[in-house]
Amino acid sequence: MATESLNPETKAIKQLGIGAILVPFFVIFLFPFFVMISTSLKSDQEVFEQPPTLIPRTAEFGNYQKIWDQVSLTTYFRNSLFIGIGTAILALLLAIPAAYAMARFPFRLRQFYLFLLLVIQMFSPIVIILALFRVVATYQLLDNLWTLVVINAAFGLSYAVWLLTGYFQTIPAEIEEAAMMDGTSRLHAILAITIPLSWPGIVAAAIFTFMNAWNEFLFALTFISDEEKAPITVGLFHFIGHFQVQWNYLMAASLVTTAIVLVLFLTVQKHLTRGLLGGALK
Amino acid sequence: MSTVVCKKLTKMFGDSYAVKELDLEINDGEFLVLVGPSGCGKTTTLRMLAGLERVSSGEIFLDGQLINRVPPRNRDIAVVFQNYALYPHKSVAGNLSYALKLRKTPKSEIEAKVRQISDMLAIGHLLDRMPHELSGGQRQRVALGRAIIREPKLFLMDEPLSNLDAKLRLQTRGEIVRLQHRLGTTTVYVTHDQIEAMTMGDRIVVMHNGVVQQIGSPSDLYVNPVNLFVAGFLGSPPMNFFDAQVSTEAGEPVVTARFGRIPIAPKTAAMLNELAAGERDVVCGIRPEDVIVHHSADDAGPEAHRMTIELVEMVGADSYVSGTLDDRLILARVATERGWREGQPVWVEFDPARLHIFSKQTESRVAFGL
Repeated sequence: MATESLNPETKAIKQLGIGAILVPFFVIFLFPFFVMISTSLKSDQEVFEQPPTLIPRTAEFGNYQKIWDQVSLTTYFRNSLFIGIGTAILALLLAIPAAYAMARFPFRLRQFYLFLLLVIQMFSPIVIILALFRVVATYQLLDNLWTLVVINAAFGLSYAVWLLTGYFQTIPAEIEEAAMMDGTSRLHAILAITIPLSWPGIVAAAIFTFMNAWNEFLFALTFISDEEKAPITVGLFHFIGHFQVQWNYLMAASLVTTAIVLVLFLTVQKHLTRGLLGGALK
Repeated sequence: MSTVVCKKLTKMFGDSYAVKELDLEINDGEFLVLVGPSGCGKTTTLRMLAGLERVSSGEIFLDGQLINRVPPRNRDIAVVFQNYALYPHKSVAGNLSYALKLRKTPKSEIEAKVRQISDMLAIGHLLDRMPHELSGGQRQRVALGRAIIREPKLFLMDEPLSNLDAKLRLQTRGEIVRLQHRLGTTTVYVTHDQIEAMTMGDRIVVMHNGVVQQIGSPSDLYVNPVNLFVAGFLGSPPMNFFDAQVSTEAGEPVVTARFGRIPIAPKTAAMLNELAAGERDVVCGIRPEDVIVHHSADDAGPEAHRMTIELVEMVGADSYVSGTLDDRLILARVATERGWREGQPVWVEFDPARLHIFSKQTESRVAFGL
């Protein structure tokens, strides 16, 4: 390799060059987070100082305490968790059988269905929100967390089906067939063999639908007016008042919201990378 | 211990036949090989027997019972897949015991059987390993063990050796045959490798384009191929073919190739006499071992053909020498010790008793000397 023949000096220069290219990107991507952290630690007065301070003069860690008192953050988090987990479960319950059929059965119009799923993915929620509102209102499903679960699941479904179809296709049908010859039904073979082997894909689909539901704002704002039913995205909105935005609290609450998703992702990410399939086949 | 009967078994994918009206009887304890080029329908046939592929029409009987609609799990048939299809998340022991667990076999019995089978296949030391930790040969044994442990009515094997290297393939080939003899389980074995078919099978079914060409013992198929396809498919190196004309001289049939007259045996002549007028265009076939090669014209008969050796391939005691007669490649098996070199002129004759004559039109064999 060329890099091995380079002497230490040129190697160092190369490293510096790579660093010089990467650092600006790094700064650009992380700067908003830096501002969030910095703002979340500012006092009420310092937030509005002009020009703004980059680093707070005194770190008000108390802000992180106060946000829990100011609004019912606990309720918002509970609602968001309900919507997120409910959405992920419902979407997977529907996506797994659909994706399995797409991956295994050569039915008519199969390609068309897959294409249709992709097209559905392209519709912006705002296009249908009025129609949806009428439906939801007619059936008196406003202020109902299940409404958001169903709608979010419906929106997450097409991506989940695509992702899982691809995953199921990587699992050789012969392994299922071997189980069927060994004495299981197809359903049992799917549950005992295919699902465990698809675990990384299923976890990825679950995380994706969960995060989308967790971050969803538009439907929640439209269909939920009861404070007790509001998810965290709507809750954060309450820090924006009519006359004043409580930036420090908003940023603190936003960081907590992000941190929860981040922790969740880090705990399950080892499932995403673990290759269970090695050695099944030549 | 089982018999299998297929009656007019047919599988269609869309408008095309994968298997067309296959009639087959497999005897109890028999090792039957389905052989043919890829796409000939052999694997589809196997999958229909297993129940993994639906039958388009026709019937399959296992021990006299119609099983067309019996789901795979109730057929009591074991399959060894080409890619082994081991359960990647189960250990070797877990793979072996899965079928027994599903049948609620007592734990002590499962353990005893796993030990017995793993010892038989020399994988006893691997029971705790996961499939990805095994070599190709070891995986292959686990796949075999998974089939054997159930003591099924029928073994189906779909090219189980194709993923092994040449040496291991040779060794495993013998092991599978010995194992099958020992267990006495009726076995259907699919391969595209004609050498595997010849060496392993009690009987061979040669398939081509979804249609059975011929069924018979390896030696029967080798000596008496019914058509050009079987003649060309079985045998390594393959049979030599060249075009010829059948004419009549003084009431006797005469076979003439473009490079000269081909002497025929009395039986061949009798069969050619009955040939219809439209079937005078024929293809002659002769196996390399039935081509007689002489160093000089003095040793050869009056109707020997002069050929120049273009290639000598020494494989041990035997060598294969090849040259062309009127643009047709002719390959002959000769004794190495007689000494051969490229560029050397030789005189070749074809053993009249071993000369196969096929109709050019129907490709069926119309005459043979034996």
